Amino acid sequence: MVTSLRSFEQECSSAKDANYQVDRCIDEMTEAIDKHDVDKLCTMWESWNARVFHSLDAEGIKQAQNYEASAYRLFLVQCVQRKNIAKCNEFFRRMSSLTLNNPQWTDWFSFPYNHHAKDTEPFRKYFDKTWIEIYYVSLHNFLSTSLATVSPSVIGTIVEGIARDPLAGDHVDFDEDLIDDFAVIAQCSAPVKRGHSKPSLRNLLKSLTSSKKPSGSTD
Amino acid sequence: MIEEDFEWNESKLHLLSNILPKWANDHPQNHLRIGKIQLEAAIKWLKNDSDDIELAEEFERLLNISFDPLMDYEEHQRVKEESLTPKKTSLNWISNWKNIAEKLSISYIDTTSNLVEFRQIRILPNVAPVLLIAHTTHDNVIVIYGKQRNPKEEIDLQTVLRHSYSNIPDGSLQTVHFMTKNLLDLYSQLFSRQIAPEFKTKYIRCLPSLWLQYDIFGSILDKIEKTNRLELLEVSLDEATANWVKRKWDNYQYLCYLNKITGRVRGEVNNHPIFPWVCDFTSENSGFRPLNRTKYRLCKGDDQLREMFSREPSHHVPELLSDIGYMVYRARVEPKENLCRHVRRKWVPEEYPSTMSRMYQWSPDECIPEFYDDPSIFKSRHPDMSDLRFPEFVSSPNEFIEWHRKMLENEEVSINLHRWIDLVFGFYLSVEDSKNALNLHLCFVEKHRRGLRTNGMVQLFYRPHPSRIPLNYNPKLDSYHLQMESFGYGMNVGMNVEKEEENETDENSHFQIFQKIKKVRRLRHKIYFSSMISLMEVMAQIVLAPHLAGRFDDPDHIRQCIRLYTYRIPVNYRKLFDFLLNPKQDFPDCDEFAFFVSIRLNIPTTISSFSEEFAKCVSLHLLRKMDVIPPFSSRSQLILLKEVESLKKSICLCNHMELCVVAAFQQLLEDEEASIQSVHRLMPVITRSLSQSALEDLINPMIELIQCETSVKLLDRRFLMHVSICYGTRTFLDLFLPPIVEACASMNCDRSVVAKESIMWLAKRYGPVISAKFISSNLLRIMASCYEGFELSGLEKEPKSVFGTVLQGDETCSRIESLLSEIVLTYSVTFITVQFLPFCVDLIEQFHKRPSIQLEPGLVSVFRIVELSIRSMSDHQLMNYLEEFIIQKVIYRVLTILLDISFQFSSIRVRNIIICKVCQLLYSITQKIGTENTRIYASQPFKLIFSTFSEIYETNEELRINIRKRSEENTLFEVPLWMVEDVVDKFAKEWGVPFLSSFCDDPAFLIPFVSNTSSLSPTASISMAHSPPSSFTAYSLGNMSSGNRLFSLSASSPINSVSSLGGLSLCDSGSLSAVWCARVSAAVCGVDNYRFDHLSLCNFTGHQERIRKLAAISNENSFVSASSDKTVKLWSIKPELDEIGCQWTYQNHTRSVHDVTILADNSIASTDGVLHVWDPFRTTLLAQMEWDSKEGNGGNIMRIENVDRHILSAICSFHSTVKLFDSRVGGWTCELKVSPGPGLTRALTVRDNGNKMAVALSNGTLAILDARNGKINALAQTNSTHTVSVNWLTDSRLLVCDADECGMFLETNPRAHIVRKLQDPVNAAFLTENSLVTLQNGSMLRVYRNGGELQIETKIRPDELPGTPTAILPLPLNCSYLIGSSHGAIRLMC
Repeated sequence: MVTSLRSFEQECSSAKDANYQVDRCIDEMTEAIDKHDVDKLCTMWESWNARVFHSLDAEGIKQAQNYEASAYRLFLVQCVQRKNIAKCNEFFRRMSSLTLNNPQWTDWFSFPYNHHAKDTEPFRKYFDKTWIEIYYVSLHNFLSTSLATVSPSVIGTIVEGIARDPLAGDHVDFDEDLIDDFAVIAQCSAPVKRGHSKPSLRNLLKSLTSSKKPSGSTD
Repeated sequence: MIEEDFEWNESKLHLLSNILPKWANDHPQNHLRIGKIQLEAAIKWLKNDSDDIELAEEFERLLNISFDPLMDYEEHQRVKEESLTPKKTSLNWISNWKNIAEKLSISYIDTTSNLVEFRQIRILPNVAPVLLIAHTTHDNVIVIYGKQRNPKEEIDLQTVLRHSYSNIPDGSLQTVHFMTKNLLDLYSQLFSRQIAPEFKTKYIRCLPSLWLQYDIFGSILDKIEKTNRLELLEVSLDEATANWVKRKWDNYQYLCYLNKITGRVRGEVNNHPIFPWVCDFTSENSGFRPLNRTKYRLCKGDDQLREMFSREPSHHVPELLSDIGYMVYRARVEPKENLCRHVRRKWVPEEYPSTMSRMYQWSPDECIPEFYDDPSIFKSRHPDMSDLRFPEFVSSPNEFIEWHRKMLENEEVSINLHRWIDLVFGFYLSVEDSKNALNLHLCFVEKHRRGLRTNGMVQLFYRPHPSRIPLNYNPKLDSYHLQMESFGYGMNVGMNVEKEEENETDENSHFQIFQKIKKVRRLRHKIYFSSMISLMEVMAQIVLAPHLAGRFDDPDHIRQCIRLYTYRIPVNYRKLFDFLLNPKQDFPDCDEFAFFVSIRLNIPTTISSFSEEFAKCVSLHLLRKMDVIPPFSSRSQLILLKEVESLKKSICLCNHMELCVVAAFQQLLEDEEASIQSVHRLMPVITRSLSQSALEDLINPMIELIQCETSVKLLDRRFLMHVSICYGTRTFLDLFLPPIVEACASMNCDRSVVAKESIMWLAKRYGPVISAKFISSNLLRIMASCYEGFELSGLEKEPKSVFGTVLQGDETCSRIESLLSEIVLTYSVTFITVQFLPFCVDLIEQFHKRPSIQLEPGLVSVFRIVELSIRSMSDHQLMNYLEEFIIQKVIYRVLTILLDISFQFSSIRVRNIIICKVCQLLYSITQKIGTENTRIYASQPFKLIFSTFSEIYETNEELRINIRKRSEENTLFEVPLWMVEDVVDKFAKEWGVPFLSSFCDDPAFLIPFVSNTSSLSPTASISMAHSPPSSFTAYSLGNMSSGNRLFSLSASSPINSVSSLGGLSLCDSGSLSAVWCARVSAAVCGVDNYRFDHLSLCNFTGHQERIRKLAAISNENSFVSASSDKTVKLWSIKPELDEIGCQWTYQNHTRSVHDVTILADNSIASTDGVLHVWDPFRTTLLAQMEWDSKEGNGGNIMRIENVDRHILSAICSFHSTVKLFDSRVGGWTCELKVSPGPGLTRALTVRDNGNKMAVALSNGTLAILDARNGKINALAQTNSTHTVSVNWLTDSRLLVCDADECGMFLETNPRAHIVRKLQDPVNAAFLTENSLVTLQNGSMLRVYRNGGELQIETKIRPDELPGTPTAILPLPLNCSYLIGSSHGAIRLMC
């Protein structure tokens, strides 16, 4: 009981920073590659595709597909380098849905049996250490930007909808006119302005920090 | 879901019931006229051979019993037995329809029993609305939909899917989500009404916004009259290919088939079937055309194709069968209007090729099937066009067709046809493979197309097409069959149906028992069940559209595609489609189906909430467009308001579905009734929510709308303000301003008045320099357009008197005139001297060089400009410009042109009018300057006039005036007599004859004219008294009224002239300082902008310490400054003041402010280590962010930079990452790693909406990444470890500024290398459109252009700016620079 509470607290504190999460995801992924764990790797990507990348735009989807393909290819490279052809075959079996009829993968069926793969064109870059480094940094960034744009879950929006004060206005009122001229600012009587604006800003800061319900007297 | 109730009037229904029987009996087309409106209608007759059982099923789908998930044992048994014996039902035709109408609340007419039932319309957003169901006899049914459907607005889903490469491009998962959500909504909308149709793509229509609508009666109507028209498509593509290869089908049949499944339909101009040309018709056996190249390539040659590829958008072939080609081929049978519309507006029958061989030579297009099967194409229907001639070796069209068809089936063609198929339907269409084959079609690369694609190429084969088996083929000699089989062609796929293995081993297994129960349950709900399955099939077809190869609604084919192309299906959808592959799985109950699917697919909540909001918009739009409410009625306006309101909400929510709202918005823009309302109301929200590219798509329709005569409301300044903020000042001035200026010259009074107000507001808003460059220069030009046609006001056609000639354009022109004079009064007379008068002189000079009709109205406008200039200048200024400019270069010059017959005018009338106008001008000048000055400075034109007059006319003894005989060479224009009389009379009255005669070489000439007039002396003496020559200097306001009499005569709105008169007293007030005037004149004269004159325009005082950063709003009249004195100040540039205090100070910072920037909605972000985002206009703090939530170890946020309209990037002193801040979220959204190695961030810069971000690190690494998704594109090593800033120069070139070392240009492509080092370390730099402005050590200002060329190099002296310059901000539109110094001073310099 105590330990579970502690671990829960620990997780909470680490979960606070989204960054950690992304790092942990990539940790897991690299671990799966190192340990030749086809299943884990594929499941990870499947769940990312299903839960994170599902709300990306067309360009993002293409990027995600590229990162995914690269991850599998890095896995294959790792297997071949460790002379674990069985795992390669296991991968192709497991991921037939991805590779079947897919023009991007046609070259790769022969990869495990190609002894000069390191110097042949479509494979070469996956052996390059800097490329791999950059890949992981980019993947990290990609995951973190995607997580930022992921759309809230259904239950989340429902809860939020309940939590929101029904009396408070809908988000921002777009009927407000846009202004782009500082000259109008002075028009609201110059001498009064300074004494007036300061406290109101301070009030606002206070209300932001102490999360008291905002009064309607901010003008 | 959303429903809109309203009444559509009952009388219309009765009207319909009266006309229906006649319509049904006559010739039922698919539309029906009622008044002005065309309604879409379908009529079907119940025949004896109709399949009763199928119909009954369809009725059951529409008239379902309520769904009940529970069932008791009896029911269970009943269903079980029923399933064994197929039930026979009798069809209750009429009552069934009646029930349906009742259930769906559709009005119902049965003329057989005189039943007319009126019902309110209910609109289901995803169901095509139906107005009425009717019977005129016992065995028919008429379904009337709303208005005749617009083929552009409602597109067949099949067509959309066929061209999915452009409509739903690969990877646009959000679009798929959106369409799926639509389908699910459709399902629930129908389910809640107990309708469970079998969904088919052919009954679904798609709006341009990709909104789907289902035609619920489509399937039953089709079933009533069984049509066998789809016979050909019953064959699958593989089978057809095999048939052709094995010579079961001939070439013609196979080509027909291919055309059909690519959706090509005979008679559709842009989508007509394509056949190959096979020979050139010169002789019977002239050989065959090569089939391995398109006709286009054969015609144009490879070089031209490569040349086209090098241009944007790069492609080889625009289209294979153009509308022009189609029309020319069918020239003999198409109506004349069609030919003129598509080929050439002018009807020249001889232009159309007259023989087949000419046709072949002329055309870059492929052939059409008519030439293989339709002899009637030769016979001309036009009396003036000869028949198309067939080659000589055949004797009749029939014979030609027969011969030509034989050619098509020739062995030579047969063995090469597969190559042509590769090019037209096959794998050479794919973007990668087409490049080598010079076969990249425009339709695959075209971007930013309006609306959905409905025509273009469709790729059917993804591998090279197999060739045909040779005629005398011996299978034993060849391995050909093997090859065929290995590609999978000709294999019968559907044969190996899995055998149902009914291994009922254990009857008592509880598992088995339960399985059986489930089976019965499913049987009972089999209608719902098949409805669910069909819905999933539609989804699968959307996902797999490119692989369907034109074969829709075929369950087996869909399943096969799912198996074969799994990799194209997004993960979530794969799981769903498993149900299709394996229907034995446990299905969700039908009432939970929609929810189940949306959860399983994980459709993002953003999409579903958007689609819910958008549904409202669509249904309101439907309601408005159904033609059940009269357009422009108050009711329709009300609905429109609601529609716009819901579109507004949708725009706020749109996220990735921008395409959808943009399509809806464009639809509104084109709608006469809605356009202005909607654009006016939606502008603010568009500004805030849409992305740059979506905004650009909207520019053209918006400008078109502004150009409309009726769009007065859009010229209002509130709207224009939003547009200018939205698109930025540069675009606004370039694209939107010209139509507004044009609107000032509009004949529509309201429009021109509103435009005038707005232009004045814009002139004040943008300041003198921009006004001169963009506004007044255009106003001068547009003035001429007022006088086009030289229409006189009143009823007169010809001018009658010189001083009473008033043109229709005068009133409009006076508005422009008053605008110009108002600009002059607001700013400075410099406008007149450097812009107006030179413009006039220039125009006259142009006319002198080359008289043209276009310039004639310009002459009249010149007189107006001169007149207004005279009024607006002070006496002193006037005297400076009077003689040389006004008298010599304008009036005298014009008179010489006018009075010389060798200069051509369009008509004598126009020449007369212009002479009248110039005389009017001359008169008003003399009024202003007085007689004495006229004699001294302005005598020349008078001398010219009078000498001309005297040369043309002579007086005989009886004081009769006659035309004098002149020599041939004399080119004087014969000025009409009334004109001469008028002019002499007028001036004689003013000045008296004696004074007037001093202008005359031959004073005697005047006498007859003068004596014709009565009492001349009194008036003359009065005017003499008014303008004594000596009083010139004192001559001002008092006499103005008389001097302006003429003006108030001609300008019919006296208020204007008074207001400009009032300005006269402020004559030389033009409130600008001399320096500003110099700026204006430099701007007007087009002196190149790359200069620095060390002039200080304005002084901004208030900061105490070093200025760190300056940032301006794009309109360049307001800017912010960040300083070490812990404040951010807001400033407004006011040209009339030399010294300006700040408008407002932001004081919430506690440390010195490092950086400041302005966001797209004009809120401001500033950092003193902590990021503050605040709204300057409402003085509210929007967000306050520290780098790290944990107190203490956060570090200072040093630099912030805009990524796109909403996102801000920031770097921090102790970290090696970049954080992104989204103003819509109001907080950090993510953190980007920049490089694998260690190193702290020092500086960053972003370009192209975040496409390229460069970050400099303390270890000398420079990382270039995509700021939107963090993809690292390059890492470069530099030696600079104390980088203070980086700036993009071009796509691949950077300026890297180091604290201690000289700045350098770094080229990043392909490998990073230093291109050039600058002389000094750079302190501040700013890139405008194409010039880089830098402040370098030693107070040096250096400006580089075109990525390196030094343009300006100068030292800013301490007496110009106290302290050393530390921050610079160029204002490119104003050609000036804001420079901040270490002492807190800011100067606007140029």
